[in-house]
Amino acid sequence: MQLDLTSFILELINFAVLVWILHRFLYRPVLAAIDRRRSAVEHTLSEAKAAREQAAAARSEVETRLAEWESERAQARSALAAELAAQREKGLADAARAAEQERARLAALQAKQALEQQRANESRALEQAGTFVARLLERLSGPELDARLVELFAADLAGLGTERRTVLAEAARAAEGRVAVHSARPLDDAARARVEQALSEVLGVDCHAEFAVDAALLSGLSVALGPWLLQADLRDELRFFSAGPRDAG
Amino acid sequence: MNDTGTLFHLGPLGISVTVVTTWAIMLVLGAFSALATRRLRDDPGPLQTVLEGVVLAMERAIAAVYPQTPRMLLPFVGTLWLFLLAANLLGIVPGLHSPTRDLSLTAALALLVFLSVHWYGIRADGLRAYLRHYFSPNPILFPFHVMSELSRTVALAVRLFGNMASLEMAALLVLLLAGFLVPVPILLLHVIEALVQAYIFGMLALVYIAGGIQSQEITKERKESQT
Repeated sequence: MQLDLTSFILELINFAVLVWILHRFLYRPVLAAIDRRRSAVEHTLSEAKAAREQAAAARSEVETRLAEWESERAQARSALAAELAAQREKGLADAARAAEQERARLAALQAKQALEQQRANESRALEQAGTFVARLLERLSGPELDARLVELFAADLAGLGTERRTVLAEAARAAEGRVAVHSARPLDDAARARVEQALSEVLGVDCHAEFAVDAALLSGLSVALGPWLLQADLRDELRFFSAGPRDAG
Repeated sequence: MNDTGTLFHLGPLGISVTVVTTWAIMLVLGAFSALATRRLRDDPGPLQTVLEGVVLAMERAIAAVYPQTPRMLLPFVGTLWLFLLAANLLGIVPGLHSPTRDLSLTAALALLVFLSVHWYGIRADGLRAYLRHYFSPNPILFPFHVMSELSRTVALAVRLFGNMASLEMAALLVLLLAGFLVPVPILLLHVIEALVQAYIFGMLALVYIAGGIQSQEITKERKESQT
């Protein structure tokens, strides 16, 4: 155990030199390489992190956009459904209205057709009734009925009002008392005289009748006095009977 | 000429075996470092991986004691570890002796550690603040601080010298007395002892230096808390 001063000093220097050598050729380059690689790794990590963040942001954006699209699609779908429902309601209302109008039109048409049918039936019934009554009256008519109708003519003429009498009298005067009388059958003298007498008394004019036969009258007589026609025959009554309901309707 | 005696003279200086062995270790370590770190790549090969592993292991060991700036202490403490490891293991090679069995070397290293403690301490917070810690917490403790630092420096030198010298002596005695192959376990013990002693020396140096720096920080924190 001895301490050599020269060795001691040289070892001091040696170690200091060794520290410098290792620092220069070992620690510094190795640490620099480590730092460089660590920096590269950190750079790569930061790039990866940035890329991951970008991807996350893009993903978030896409998800947001998809959600917006989904919302817009749902809104459009609901708007379309509402529009379709409104159109369907409107179509149904239009169809119901058209059906109601058509129904009303058909009802009116049916009512009209029924009325026309009723009228036609009535008319046909009246015609048949007229025909039946005409045939019946034709079979029932005869001189007795003619005489009674002459009396009825005289009575009705006597019952005329003053105004009508005046008018008829003027017509008789204008015709100088000539009167055309048509009967269903030839009248006997008494009936002829009764007709002329009734006319002369009521009108105050001496009337001379020209008698003729018109079988269409069925029974009774028709008197033509100027423009006036005085009828007391079954044909006219039947015509009145047939026309009566139509006029009333 | 004995094992640690003068090998030759360089002018007035007597160059001992220890110094020559140290030069050889310096040459080997320097040449190896220069060659190995000549082409460092970002994609490291096996040798570069080993080098990086060794340097990082030393940096982490230093950071475990002084985490603030481990790279500041790495050149000194790391060189202590590497040099002492190489110097201690050199004794296994037949015909060579560990330079650490020479008190001149261990004393020189202990002195360097002693100076480094003050150097790094002063560098951390200035001369006045560093010197103030000798009078903390009470000026009466100043002689004890000085005695502590001197004694631990002496202990540092003598511990390494004693362990390595006694180990070689024991191996030599066993070889002389027991014969061939019997000292093999002693050689294995030599390897373990070389590793342990290198680690202990470097770790103690690190603890002393870190203590010197942190004592300034503790003193400063106390002052700041008082103000």
